[in-house]
Amino acid sequence: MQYNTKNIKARAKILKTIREWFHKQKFIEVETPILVDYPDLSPNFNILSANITNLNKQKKYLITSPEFSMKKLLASELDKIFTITKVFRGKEENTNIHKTEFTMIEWYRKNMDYIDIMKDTENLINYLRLIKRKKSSTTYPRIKISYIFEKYARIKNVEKLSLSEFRKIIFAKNYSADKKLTYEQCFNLIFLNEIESKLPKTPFFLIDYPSELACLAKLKKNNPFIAERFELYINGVELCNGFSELTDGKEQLARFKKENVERQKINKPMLPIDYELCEKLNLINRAGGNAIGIDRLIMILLNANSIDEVMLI
Amino acid sequence: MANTITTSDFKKGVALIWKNEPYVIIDFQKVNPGKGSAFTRTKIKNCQTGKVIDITFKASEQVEQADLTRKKAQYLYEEPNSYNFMEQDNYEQVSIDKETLGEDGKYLKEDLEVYILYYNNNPISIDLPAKISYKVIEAPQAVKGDTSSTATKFITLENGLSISAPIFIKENDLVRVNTDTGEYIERCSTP
Repeated sequence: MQYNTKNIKARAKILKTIREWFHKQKFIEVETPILVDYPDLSPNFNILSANITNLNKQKKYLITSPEFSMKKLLASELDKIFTITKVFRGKEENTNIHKTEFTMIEWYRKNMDYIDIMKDTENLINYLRLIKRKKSSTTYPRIKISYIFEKYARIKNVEKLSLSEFRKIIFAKNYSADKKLTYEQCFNLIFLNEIESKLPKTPFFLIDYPSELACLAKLKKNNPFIAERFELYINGVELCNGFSELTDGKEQLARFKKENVERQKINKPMLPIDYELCEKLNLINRAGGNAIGIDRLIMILLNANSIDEVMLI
Repeated sequence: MANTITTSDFKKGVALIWKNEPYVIIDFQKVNPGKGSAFTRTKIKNCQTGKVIDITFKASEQVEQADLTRKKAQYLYEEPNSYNFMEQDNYEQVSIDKETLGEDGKYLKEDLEVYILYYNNNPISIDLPAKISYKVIEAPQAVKGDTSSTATKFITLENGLSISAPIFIKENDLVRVNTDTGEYIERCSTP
């Protein structure tokens, strides 16, 4: 393979600047494990496992994000932590904006919520753009999921739809005839077919997802149908996934168990639940966090056409 | 029961039914929205209207395959509301409504070989050669003094089609035309 030295140098500089920004905000950089005993249970993920086991002969899994390790650390005395790590998503095809193996920056702030973390995200990206002598600080619009579903797909109160109501809409629109559609599939069939292409190419946050789509996020106090989750889009590319963290261990355990049931329904292996995480969540009062796909961010900052141009893979 | 395929069988050129109309896949890509499941973003072209649309299917969605056949045929003649062809394997005459062929009809000329696309045994469209050569029957003299190399004029071709061409084109010349854009490509000596 041909290495693009110019991009390797530019990537190094961006990574250095990202670290610089976090250190300036007094974040502690932590190194979290890539091989873990307890992977993310999200039914959509195909978790890769390593051909090694721990002393108890349990399987080791490759992380899809450092989230569980980070949250356990947050339960200690650390208030502001970040990590830059490789993560892995099995069975997801390599495209011009996605690779099975990619690099993630993930950070958490105790006693903060998703509003604060969106501000962090903006500030970090503005800081990175400054070194590229691009436009100075800007604020990105916050667009609510319920708003775009009503505006572009004429679906009111999407977060309140039951699964059977959502399926009916999908069948009527001919996007699928599968009687076993999940809530997430219904949501994304509408989002990908009717909404995504109409969204602005300039940066914006999509916020307030239906609670079904946020296993690890906190629900809104006054509206349990909505989770305090956000994604950032730049040039039509989804860059991050952040939220106000769920810090109720009991609720988290219930959601994990539900995910395992979902996994079973779609013939995927059930995965071991991280009970230690659930216990430690109770030690955190409030927290917000975010994860950005660094390769995509670098791609955008360097105006690259494909993720291959900025990665060594 | 019609044949079904799943998104893993998707290839460029595969024909499928979407909302009761036949389409051909012209491009597709796998996508995984954040923390979402797998989807296949598909660009499909309506076999009848040529309209291209984007549809995203869930991975492994069952889609009905369209029963399409292509047959080689020769263009014969025009009637007030239709064009007439002869299928080359059995010499059977086929008449297709002008409305069905739309813009494609204006590129037809006597003896032109095309492919007719049949959906459920009804002709729905034709595949024209990408380039067709025509004899020029009318080419007005260029305006005197206009010597710029980009200057063009309108010429009329043997089948009545009128296109824009460089000013050096004369009557009885042969010219090649792009049937996708309707634009002049070059002057040629042989068809």
